[in-house]
Amino acid sequence: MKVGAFYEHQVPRPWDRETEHKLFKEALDEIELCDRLGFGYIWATEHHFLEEYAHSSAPEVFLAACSQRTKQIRLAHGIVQMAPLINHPARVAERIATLDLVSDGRVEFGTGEGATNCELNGFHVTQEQKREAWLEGLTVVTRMMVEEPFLGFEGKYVTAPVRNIVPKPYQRPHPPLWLACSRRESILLAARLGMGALTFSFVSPEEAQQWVHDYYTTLENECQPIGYAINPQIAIMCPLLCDRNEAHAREIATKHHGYFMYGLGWYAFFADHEPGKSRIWESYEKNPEAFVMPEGKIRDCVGTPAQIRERLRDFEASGVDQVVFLSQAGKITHETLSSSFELFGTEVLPEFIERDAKRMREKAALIERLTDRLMKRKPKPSIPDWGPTIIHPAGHH
Amino acid sequence: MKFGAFYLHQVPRPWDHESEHRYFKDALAQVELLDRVGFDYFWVAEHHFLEEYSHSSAPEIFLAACTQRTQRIRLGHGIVQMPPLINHPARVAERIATLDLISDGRIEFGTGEGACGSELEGFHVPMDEKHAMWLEGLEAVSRMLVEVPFQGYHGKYLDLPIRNVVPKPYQRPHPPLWLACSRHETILNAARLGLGALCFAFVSPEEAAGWARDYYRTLENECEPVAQAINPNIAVMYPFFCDRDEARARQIADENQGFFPYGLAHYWTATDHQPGKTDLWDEYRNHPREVNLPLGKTACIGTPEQVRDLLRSFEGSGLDQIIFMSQTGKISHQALCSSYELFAREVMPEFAERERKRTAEKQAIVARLTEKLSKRPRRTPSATAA
Repeated sequence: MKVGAFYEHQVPRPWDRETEHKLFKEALDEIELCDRLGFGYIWATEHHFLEEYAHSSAPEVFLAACSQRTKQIRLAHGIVQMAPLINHPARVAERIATLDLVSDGRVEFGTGEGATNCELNGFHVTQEQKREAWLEGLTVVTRMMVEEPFLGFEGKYVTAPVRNIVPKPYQRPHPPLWLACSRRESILLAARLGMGALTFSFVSPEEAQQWVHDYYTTLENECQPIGYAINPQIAIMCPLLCDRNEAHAREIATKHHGYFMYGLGWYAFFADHEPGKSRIWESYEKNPEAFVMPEGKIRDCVGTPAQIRERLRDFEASGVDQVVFLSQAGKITHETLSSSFELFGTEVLPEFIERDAKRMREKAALIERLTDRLMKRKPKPSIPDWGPTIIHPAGHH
Repeated sequence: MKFGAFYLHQVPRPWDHESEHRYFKDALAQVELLDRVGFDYFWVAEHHFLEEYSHSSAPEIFLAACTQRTQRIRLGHGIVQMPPLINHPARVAERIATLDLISDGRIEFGTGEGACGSELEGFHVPMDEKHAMWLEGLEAVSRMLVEVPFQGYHGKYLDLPIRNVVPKPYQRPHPPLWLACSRHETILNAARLGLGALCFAFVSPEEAAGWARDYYRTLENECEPVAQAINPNIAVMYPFFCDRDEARARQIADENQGFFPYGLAHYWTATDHQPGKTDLWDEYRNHPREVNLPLGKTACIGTPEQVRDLLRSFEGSGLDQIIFMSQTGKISHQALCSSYELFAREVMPEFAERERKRTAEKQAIVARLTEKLSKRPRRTPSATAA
């Protein structure tokens, strides 16, 4: 089982001249540390306009910076918002490919449809359209990364002519595909499409075990790959804060991971957000208990190395491929995060890395066993009948 | 006078699995070198679908990587294509701001409307509307970088609601803005809007002096800034290659530099392109068509002495920056690195010394202009807030 670190770049107010600068620079230092400790993945989210909750609005830029600060850690989009009105598919394909080249093939291409009204409506994408828009965007991007030239697409959300999209990614046919999931329905969808399931839910090992079973069964029996390679993986999220003093870890997590939940609730469920005017951290401090996650109490990785070790062994036994750690949240300091990663990385992680080698071999065998059969079931791409494409220049400068 | 380097990321055919990978790794090493030896700016283009001629389709990614490989060098978009159908303004603002934060405020925000039909049509941008789209995109992005919250934008091509665009850039109010120019007329446009002029034309020192004079005069007399700060700067690009052996310099330049205008002509004006099929390098080497572009003939190619003499004739022209275009065709990583190092060691120091003196004068000019322009009425934007 692998571990990953999840970053939203949460920046509660008040802000001064240096707040965001410091946060981003420290985040890069933390990720350099995670790479050195043997973390498998760094996941950077994509959110727009969600002040104080997530300032990770250009994860492609951040991950590209990470590529030069790290050696082995996978650079993962958690996720790219695929609605063409937010990210044009050609621009996505180009960025994924370029990132893959400068990182020597370490990109993980997580995709999603977007969630909050604040973001979607900011780009004139509706809740009703987002699923279809995601599907079109994803279909087009995968073809753009592979076809030489891209043979064109005529859809509801994007129409793109015949062009060779350059550069091409380093990983062939393309980096591993993932889908952002939040419940069983989307996990099964990921399986049906042959994509990794990046599950943004805090679940117990018992629940995870059920999901793992359903995911892999569905993959075997129902998969019609949307990409040109399958990515059989299921990852779940879990808060992490590692400290020799359990009470201290719990205190920090309660306050700052609590803020994470509050901010999530703010934008997704309960608040009437006033851009530039709302004060989310202030609101939270006045009323920290106001919002409780629907899942209730979370089985987290907050505590001593021994406690975290036990919890992770349970997750490992459940069959999940990766636990993605939420650590940076609220006003947790760089020093706290670094100590937490360091302690976890040195005292807990090594045994999981060692046992993961076996898991990797099993995974490779699974992929080999399934790929031929499943790729034969891939639906034929919808290629427009436009006749031969020769581009005549404009004669215009 | 400052010095910059400009990259298109040319990757001629034939391609194997490692061609682009090796190219980008080498290019990053070259930028690291440019920073180390004291170049002031690194500029990288944005082009889409222009196989072999430019694989720089995601310059934001490359610049982000550069931020972590360099300490001091300014990192410039040469340029961002601003029509919203290519790059949504919110995405542009977010990327510029994030780049600026992780680079400790070293970003230069060059903008352009796009020129090549193949790219523009690829995104359904009509040729006769790209200029208006560029302007709306620029107005929206510059306000998003500054306003808390962004007050919205209702124009012909953009309809944007009120949102706080985060993060905000490190440089305040925003990174320096530039406009891609290729003719005298566009340089004056840049001046009128308070933008730096990023000139893609190989003009003689005399003509360059005329451009600089007209640029600054227009800025002084007619400028109504489009953004929150002016960027009085004029930079001009030239082909460049430096070697102790003049014959070798000319040979390497002849073999490779010609691929730039050849590709330019192919995609812009002259030839029919078949995506995925046309072998442009083969054509260029073995059966080239004639190329006739209004580019200018001046080039910084030769020995350190020859390069120095040419550059001295640019000093006093009023140009702020000379940008070198070297990575073209199949020029090798070793050749590029030697050329940059030789120039930095034997030619650049005297210019750096004089530039330090000029910087103080320049700062005074900027302060004076800023003061003068702040007294003028604000320009009417092409669209309204929410």
